[in-house]
Amino acid sequence: MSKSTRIAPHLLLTMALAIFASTPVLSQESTLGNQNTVLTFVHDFLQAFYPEVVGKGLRLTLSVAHPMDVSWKEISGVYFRLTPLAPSLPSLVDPEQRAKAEGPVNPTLLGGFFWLHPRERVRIEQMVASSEIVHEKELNAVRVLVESHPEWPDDRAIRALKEAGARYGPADKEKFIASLHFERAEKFLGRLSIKLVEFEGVSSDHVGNFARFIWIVHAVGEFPDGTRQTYGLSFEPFEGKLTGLSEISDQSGT
Amino acid sequence: MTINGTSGFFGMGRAISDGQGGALFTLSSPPSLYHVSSGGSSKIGLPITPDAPPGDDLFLADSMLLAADGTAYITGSSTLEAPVDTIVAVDSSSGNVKWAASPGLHPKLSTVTSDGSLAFQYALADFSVHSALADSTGNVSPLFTNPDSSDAGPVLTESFGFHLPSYWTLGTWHAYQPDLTLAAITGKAIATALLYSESQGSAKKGHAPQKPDVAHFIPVDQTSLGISSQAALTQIEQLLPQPVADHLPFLGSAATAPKFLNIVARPIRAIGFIGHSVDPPDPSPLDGNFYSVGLRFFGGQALVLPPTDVPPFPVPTYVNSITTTRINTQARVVFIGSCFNGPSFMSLWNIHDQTITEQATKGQAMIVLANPNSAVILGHAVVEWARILDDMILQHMSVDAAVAEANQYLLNQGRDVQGNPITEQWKVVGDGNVKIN
Repeated sequence: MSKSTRIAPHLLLTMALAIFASTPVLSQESTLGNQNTVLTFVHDFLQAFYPEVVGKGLRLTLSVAHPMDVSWKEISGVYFRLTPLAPSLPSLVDPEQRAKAEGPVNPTLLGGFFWLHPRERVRIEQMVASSEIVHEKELNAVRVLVESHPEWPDDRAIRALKEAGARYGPADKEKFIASLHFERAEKFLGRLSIKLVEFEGVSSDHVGNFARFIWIVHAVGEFPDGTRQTYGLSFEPFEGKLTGLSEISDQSGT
Repeated sequence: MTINGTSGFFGMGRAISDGQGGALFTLSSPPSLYHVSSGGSSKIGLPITPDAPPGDDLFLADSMLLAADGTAYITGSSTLEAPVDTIVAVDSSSGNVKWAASPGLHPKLSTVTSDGSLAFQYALADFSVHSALADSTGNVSPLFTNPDSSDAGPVLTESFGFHLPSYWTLGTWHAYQPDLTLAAITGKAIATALLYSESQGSAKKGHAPQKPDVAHFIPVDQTSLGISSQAALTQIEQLLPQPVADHLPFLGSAATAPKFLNIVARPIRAIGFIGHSVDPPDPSPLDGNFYSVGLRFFGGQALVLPPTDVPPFPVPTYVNSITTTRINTQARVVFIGSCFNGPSFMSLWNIHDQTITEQATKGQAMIVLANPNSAVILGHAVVEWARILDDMILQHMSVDAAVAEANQYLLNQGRDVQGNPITEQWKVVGDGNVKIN
């Protein structure tokens, strides 16, 4: 057993949720009265990239895990979970108890995290989104199907993806690009210029988890202060929803 | 291109790449070999009637393979009335027939070796199917031999499907058994760095600049990794999509020890393992210092050193394990994102630094934790691995430079998404000048 087996992020998260639920949140760069925090940043980002979740009475839970003994003006990560139930239903603050109480009636619609640059004004180092809204279940199902048929040629694998309901296969590149609406991202990622759009289909060797089925976009964001940052973004093929993004090192180019 | 239906011509064979943007194909009548390229086309008469399998039938072997020296190996019929019974080796430029062999019926081509030998199958009248090797002069011998040089099999019966032996690596072939299960069989070690030298081609061949092929073994789940293994891979793909790298992912249940041994033995550019180490039970006999004796794969399966009581690194017996004294890898770069990579763990590998008795490994490198007594948060290992690949593939850095840059990048992040300080650092063992792109 290695030490790594003793790493239990969910326990850290549980502790953090408890702290978060009972502690006033400090602003990273502003006053309490203004309430512009990493939490509002994440909330606004999710509204911008997943507009269909707005106006449906969903509950967004944001949580932060951060050491007690260091500055909370340098928060480096925020977890999020979007669920159907209104906050007035189960009022348990402990997330494990709450998940147990809610059970399948309150599934995660969208979950994930933001990894943030803590020492600068808020910029995203990395973001990951999963669950229903980004069609994780459907994508994994079609991956399993295709990977059970390594003898299928690539076009047969893509047909399986389309038959599963994917709107944006490799032949739908223009439609996919039109769906991006990067103008919504300007507040968070700068004014984005697309440098690369690539559909990751199946790996050339049909071994292992060779069915990928994601769109990768590389885009350079230009911020109001003139600084630039390149991002790699991934999108699922069913509705073209963002599943994650990473900063790409400045010297990288595509 | 359509030739069937043109008066006087029939039997167009499956076209194959010449590796330089052109193609070769055969015609059954008149028996000929065509070479088409941007510079024009040429036609060579053939002494046999070439076989013409349906172009889209993936269960039929190619009836022609091409070696790097331009030799085309073609199956066909020795006479118009005969079944497919002959293989000819023809210089595709001059048309000279180097050799012809008629070992039996229905020869199916498998692989051309670098010395001009040809692995293939043929059938006898009793419908038994044999694997054979023709040397560069056309002398045919069994592909797998007993010590007395007799045919060691496997002997199949004719059946539907594609059951050719295929060369894997390090003298290991994959060959079908009589029950059509696949087995790894030790045979002649060959090099196949040729053009269209394997039936139905090979993704690794060709004259175009090859994208780096990179394997990722991530057997752990979200509890250990902080994110799903799919999301971890997507992070890497966000940096390095398919135009710049071929990814071979083995996540969760696909990340098994046998698959790891299989892939790590291949001459791929890089392979990364991100998961748990196998450490002797706590308390450790080394004053609380853990040491790794192997890697933990999906379902807890361990790939470990054999049991031993010998100090200072005794190894207990592990259930659900595969033991080995040496992991022989041909990968150019091996990244290990697991804990306690000390001397015991490093003894597993055929990549090493200089010792009193041995020179440092040339042309290959391993990346392991700089502190052999340290643990690693696996999510940090994902970030380091992704950054190293970015540096090596997009920035064309050597492994030494890439690891140094990625280490600095990791330190600069300060804290991870959970607020944990990021302190892990990696080092290079073996040849620090290695590049993968």
